[in-house]
Amino acid sequence: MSEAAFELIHETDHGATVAGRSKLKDGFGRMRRNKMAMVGLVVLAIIVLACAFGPFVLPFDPNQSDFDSISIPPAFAGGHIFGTDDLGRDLLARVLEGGRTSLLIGVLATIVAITIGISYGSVAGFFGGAVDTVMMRIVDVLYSLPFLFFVIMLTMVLGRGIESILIAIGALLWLTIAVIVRGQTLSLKHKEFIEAARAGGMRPFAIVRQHIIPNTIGPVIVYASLLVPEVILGESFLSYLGLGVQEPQSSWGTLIDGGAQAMDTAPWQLIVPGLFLAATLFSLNFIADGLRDAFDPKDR
Amino acid sequence: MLRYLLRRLLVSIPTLFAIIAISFFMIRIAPGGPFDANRKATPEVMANLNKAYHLDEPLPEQFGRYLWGVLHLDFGPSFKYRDYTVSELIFRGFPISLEIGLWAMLISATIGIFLGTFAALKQNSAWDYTVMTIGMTGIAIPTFVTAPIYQLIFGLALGWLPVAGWDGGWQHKVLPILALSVPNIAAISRLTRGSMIESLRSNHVRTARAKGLGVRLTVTRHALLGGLLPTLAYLGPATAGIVTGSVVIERAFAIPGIGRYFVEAASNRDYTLVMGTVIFYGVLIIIANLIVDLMYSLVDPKVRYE
Repeated sequence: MSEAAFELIHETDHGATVAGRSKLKDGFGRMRRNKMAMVGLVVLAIIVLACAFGPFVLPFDPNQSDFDSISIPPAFAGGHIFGTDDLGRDLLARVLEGGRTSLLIGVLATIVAITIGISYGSVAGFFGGAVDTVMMRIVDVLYSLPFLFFVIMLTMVLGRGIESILIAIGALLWLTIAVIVRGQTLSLKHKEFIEAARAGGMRPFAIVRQHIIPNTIGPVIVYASLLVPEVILGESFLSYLGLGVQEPQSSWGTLIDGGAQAMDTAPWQLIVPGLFLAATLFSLNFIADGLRDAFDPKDR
Repeated sequence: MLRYLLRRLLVSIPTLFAIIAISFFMIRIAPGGPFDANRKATPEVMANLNKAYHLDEPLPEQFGRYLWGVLHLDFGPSFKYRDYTVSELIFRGFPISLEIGLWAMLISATIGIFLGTFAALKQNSAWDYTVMTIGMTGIAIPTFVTAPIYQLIFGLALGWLPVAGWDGGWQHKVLPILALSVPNIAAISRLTRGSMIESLRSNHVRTARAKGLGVRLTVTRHALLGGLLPTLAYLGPATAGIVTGSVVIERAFAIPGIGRYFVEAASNRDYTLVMGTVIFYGVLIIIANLIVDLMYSLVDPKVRYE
């Protein structure tokens, strides 16, 4: 079809051109009308920006003790807006520093999980048959394992620290993504464009990489948005139990653990990191809900 | 029915085997032997220790021995608490964890279903939004944040209940059960609301109303049965959630249940105890899922046991 003919299709009776509507644009349009999702997006953006740039702006070092100001309650005077901990370290600085760890793990472990899930699910779905049966049977078995306990065992094997948490959570959270992508692949693989690629002599793995995977991205994005809060929660859970992020590094989980121990004398040490964690999880959940409503055709 | 039960039991065997195998081999790759913490022992002593714990045998043989032991509920000796076997520790902690877990399950199912149904009946009213906001809050704030807050409010500020500890009295059980129930109440009420709204719109409910049946009877006799199916199915994952939650709760409230042994074992690198508890939890979750599946098949005539 020539360029001119293509233009004609978009010409209406009045001669005005109508802009093409993409699924993505439609979805984000619906998303923008979802108030809770937009509030979540704004709150999350504030937290992320604060964690990213706050440590450069704040006059306090998160690891610098100030023995003249130990355990002062939150107050605007003196500059410690959220107070200090029992070693005199500024709590806001520590929460932002810990937030970097928590958010970073949340995003990176999700990427690990998505990568494994997409590759696994698309291969299982595309090749079908015995390959599919065996691969999905493995997923079934892994599904029934108590997830966080295996993460804990895996971190015992890998040694404690941020990297091993990343690997452990990412290595165990890909299951649902694999199932979703497999389902998508099954419905895609008999479409004409796949047939065409096959007829054109494309190798199976190349088809999976270039034609199947890009078409499964939509539902994957929706599910990934649900995964991020789950990872952040898992990491804080481990760190709270003392099995995750280790000193001198900190995350929201380790701060909450410390705060819980100092709770009777300095409750703000628990409440401030707790609020940051809860606000983040809240926003991520609302955003995920909004994304699902906007992009999942089933619920419309 | 019996055949269905048997088949479900057979299906859980490979899962169980996978749990045992993965735990066993994962722990074997973990760095450091169980006796590294001891003062530098002479090679002869180390050899004797390894021999006593069968660590000198080839790996498949050790695995076979372990598997055989697990079948007899023998998880081997604890490497840290030398005088106890893992089974003794597990069965000392389990009754306590079970009691709290069962109460939490019962309370969250009852209140969750009630709130969810209530919200569905008053859909889009202020009541509905209140219940759903509470639900969202309950899900988004993790137990390791809420538990200390309850301790702060009810234990320290109001002084109504003990902050932590365990003597078997009811006062020590209230706060842990509360902390463990709230997230599940939230999840169950959200789920029930969704499925009840759907159920209330279905044809058979409309027919029941049209032939003059009162609201109360329509809801209890017709709408609830269909509306509760997803909730029933959720009870399986909910068990897993309560098991995981109990780990946090037992640490926060200093309760001597299995969860605390597990966390201590994980930080002490008490490998046999970690393996034992993970396998025990796995079995527990499998049994819970089995029970839920059976109940589901009893309630829902659409489930066929071919």
